[in-house]
Amino acid sequence: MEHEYDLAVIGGGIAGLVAGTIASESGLKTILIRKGRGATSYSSGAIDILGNLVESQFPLSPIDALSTTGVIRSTHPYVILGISENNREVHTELIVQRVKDSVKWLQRNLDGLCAEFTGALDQAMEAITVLGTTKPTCFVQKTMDMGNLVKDHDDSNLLFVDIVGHPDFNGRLAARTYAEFQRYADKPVKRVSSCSITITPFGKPYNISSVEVARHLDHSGLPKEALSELRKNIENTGATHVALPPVMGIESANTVLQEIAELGVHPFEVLSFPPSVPGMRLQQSLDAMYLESGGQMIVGHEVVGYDSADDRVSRIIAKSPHRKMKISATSTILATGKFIGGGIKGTESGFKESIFNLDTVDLNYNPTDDLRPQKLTDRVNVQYEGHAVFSVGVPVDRYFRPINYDSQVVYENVFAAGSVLAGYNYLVEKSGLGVGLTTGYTTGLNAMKYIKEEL
Amino acid sequence: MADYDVVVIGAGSTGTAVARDCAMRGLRTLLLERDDIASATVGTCAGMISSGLKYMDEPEIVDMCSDEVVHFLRIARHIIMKNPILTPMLEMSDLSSGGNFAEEYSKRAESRDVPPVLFLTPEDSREIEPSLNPEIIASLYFEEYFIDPFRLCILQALDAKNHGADVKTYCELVDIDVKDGKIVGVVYFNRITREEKRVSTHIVINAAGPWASKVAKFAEAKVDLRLNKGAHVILDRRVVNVGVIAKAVDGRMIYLFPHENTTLLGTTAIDTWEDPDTLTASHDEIEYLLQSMEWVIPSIRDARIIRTMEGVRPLVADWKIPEGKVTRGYEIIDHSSQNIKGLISFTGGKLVMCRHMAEAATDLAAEMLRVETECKTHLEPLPGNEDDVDVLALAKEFDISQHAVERLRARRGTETRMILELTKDHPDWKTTICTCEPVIEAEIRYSIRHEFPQTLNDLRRRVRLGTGPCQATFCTYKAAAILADERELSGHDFQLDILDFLSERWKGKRPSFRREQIIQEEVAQGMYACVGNLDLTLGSVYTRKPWEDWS
Repeated sequence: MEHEYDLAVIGGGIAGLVAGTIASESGLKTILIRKGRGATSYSSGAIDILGNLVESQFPLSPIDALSTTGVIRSTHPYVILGISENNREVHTELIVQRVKDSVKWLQRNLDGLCAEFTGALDQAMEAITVLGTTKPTCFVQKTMDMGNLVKDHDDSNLLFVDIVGHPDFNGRLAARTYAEFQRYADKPVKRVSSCSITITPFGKPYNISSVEVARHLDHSGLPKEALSELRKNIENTGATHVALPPVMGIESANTVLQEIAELGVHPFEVLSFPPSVPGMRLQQSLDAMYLESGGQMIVGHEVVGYDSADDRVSRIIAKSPHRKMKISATSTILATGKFIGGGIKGTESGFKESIFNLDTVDLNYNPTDDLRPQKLTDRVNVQYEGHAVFSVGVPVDRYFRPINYDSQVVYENVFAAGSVLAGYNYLVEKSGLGVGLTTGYTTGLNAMKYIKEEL
Repeated sequence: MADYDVVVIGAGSTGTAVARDCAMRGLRTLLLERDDIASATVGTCAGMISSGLKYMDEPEIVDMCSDEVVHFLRIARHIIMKNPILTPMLEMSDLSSGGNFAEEYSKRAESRDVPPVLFLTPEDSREIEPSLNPEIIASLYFEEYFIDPFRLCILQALDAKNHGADVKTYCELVDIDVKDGKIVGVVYFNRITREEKRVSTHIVINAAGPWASKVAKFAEAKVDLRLNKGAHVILDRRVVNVGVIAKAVDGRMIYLFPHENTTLLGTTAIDTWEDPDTLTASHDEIEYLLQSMEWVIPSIRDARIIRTMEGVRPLVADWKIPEGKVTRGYEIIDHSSQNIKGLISFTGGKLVMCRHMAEAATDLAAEMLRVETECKTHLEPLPGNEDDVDVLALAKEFDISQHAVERLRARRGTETRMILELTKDHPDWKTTICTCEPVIEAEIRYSIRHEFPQTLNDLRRRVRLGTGPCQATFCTYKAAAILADERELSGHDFQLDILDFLSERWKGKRPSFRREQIIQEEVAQGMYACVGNLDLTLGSVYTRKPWEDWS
């Protein structure tokens, strides 16, 4: 079966869905093909922009970090955003502008959906995580908004709440870690305490998974017993803020939190590890946004081949266990992710991009085609500079079109977005969804220009 | 009167066996270990309690091994599994060497309750193990027993304790007091309390394995060792139905053994002079093993490698012969010959011999102490082996999956019920913390309370926490919270425990880092670095481990 489209997007995480929405809402006939759910659904509920500039000794606001990146790095996807049409030079204000545009656009599009988010580019946010540590980020889902906890720390009183038999979050340890961190950071010590409540989706108080709790809350709301346990503990501790496990419903978290707020506290969820309910919310909201724009989506299909002619990809072949589809598109966006998404593969003989067999490079655009993955790792597992292997991806030109080792554009109608890109390490700089969003936004626009022959 | 009759140095398989034997014979015993029980050589072995098949030219050793297997089946059957093994042959010349082995093995088979060696046709071989190379011309079939090496050492140490011994982990020997050519005491440094302590003793038994020379030096005595390192590659599941033994690229024999929930491919053998604490598997070792096994299992490279492990064999110092020709027998050195009375050291030996070695050394110690004793270590069961365990009934009674209960039984024997009983007061402790293995919270709490683990890595040795395909990605922070909760640790120590375990797992993951494990690591880094922010918060206080040091 042959299908014809203006734009084909391969990959359904944040980058692919944003690119697809941009194209589709402006009237292009768009199809998005994806294998599974999208690695975005494993994310924590925060949208990082640039939490930590590895080269900087002290924390910067996202805007300052972006501006600094523009000066000190040349291959970072954010820096490529800042290349001006006119003189082909990097303008830091252009980087900031494009990030602002895409954030504003997404904020508008997710308005009213379950992953609605809040935050500001000119201010770093120290969000509390499931470990009780804090992490520098920029935007969080509304259910994770800590309110005036940090600002008014003199009289805030934080209660960590966990669920009995739910091993993904231990409120007692998170409270202990957070309280120590507050002391260590020489901030006026808030009162911090913890308690457990009971929510048993299947009537048993053990082996309770985050997703089960969330679905249960969506379906039946917060159980009365849990609410009264909460009320009792809030009264006993005099809590003003409540840190909750990030499981308070997929669709209904705002409602559940509203109910808790009526106890006279400011409730919020902490950042999640996978499996992540907030990540599922974001994924679901992005899916809804894309479908609303009129784009088509086929899931459970893997791109297994393509045809090319005259430096253009003319057709891609997608396969599911039951059928094979041939999709002709004027332009294609590659948003297949890094290792989790399957966009990049690393074997003992080196790295390759999975679909078009594109050349891969590292942080500074050095070739990685014949590098053994182990060589791009550090002896220390968790440390400041991270592992170079996670900056491996495809190199691109100023329009985000993959280039080869001779710096030649490989296919003039293929654009790459999200973590399939090289030149940055989202894990340590904390920029994953930010790069996904902004490069998705920009490649969507670039593909549109290409299709309209304006590029 | 001295504080102790005997101080045993090193809590590997031999040291724990010695401590058990001494304590059972009523000797006042102290076991000192600088790290954790089974934290070095024995913790990197495949757990085979070998019938001695590799040592056919040393018949007395084969006899001893065969008898020891029978003893282990009596005292520790709950932690023993039997593996069928195929040795496929690709050339006619392989057949001739198999004959001699078959004869020797079969002579002793009945006493170990295994069938005699069978010669199988290629068709029959491939029916048992379909992944075998179709070009094999025949194979040998036989059966060997495998023990959980960690549990064996832990149980020996616990049993020593039950018989009155003092067992001290994280206590490093820093000196031996010698007076008039006679041992009078030892000094050790407690690495947790940072305190040094001197105790008096009549005898020191040096079971420090690769560190035996170093220990002897404290008494100005000498132990010659030939240190030889060996690597294993660990696959994510039981990729073969049975064990497979094959000839490596250099003609040595290597094996692929299903082991617990994984498969072990090993080993290499390289003489080493490096600090044993710093060793990790090399790329050459990994490729040596893969290419060698590829000849008989062509699909071996499709398997997912989850990690490697590297250990050091403290061989008897036979030089100028290949490692494989060095005797696998053991030697007991009575340092009286070097004019140091009361010091006994081991060299050589194999896991299967550890009890036998302990008996011999304890006999010698008793003789030195002039006491009449009788060894009973081959007769008395180790903890947990007192009775059979009905896994299906327990799974039903406690509403826990049969799989989880069976895995629990394989570590615990009769302790299984005791652990499950804990969930009557704490139903939430039925929660699975390590999903790969699996391990439930009750077992972790029980182990913390009764088996003196100090770190998550110590818990791994006791309950197999974090040994599966995800290599502790998902269980580390959950188990760390339980450890911190039980021990009332600070949030800071909670985070350091997480880093400590991730670091230890990474030691083995990094050498074979490729394919699916890159994906797995991206998830782990996403959790602990990107979201948990441990890369930023703890960088300044984390002390590098020996293998992480650049120098």
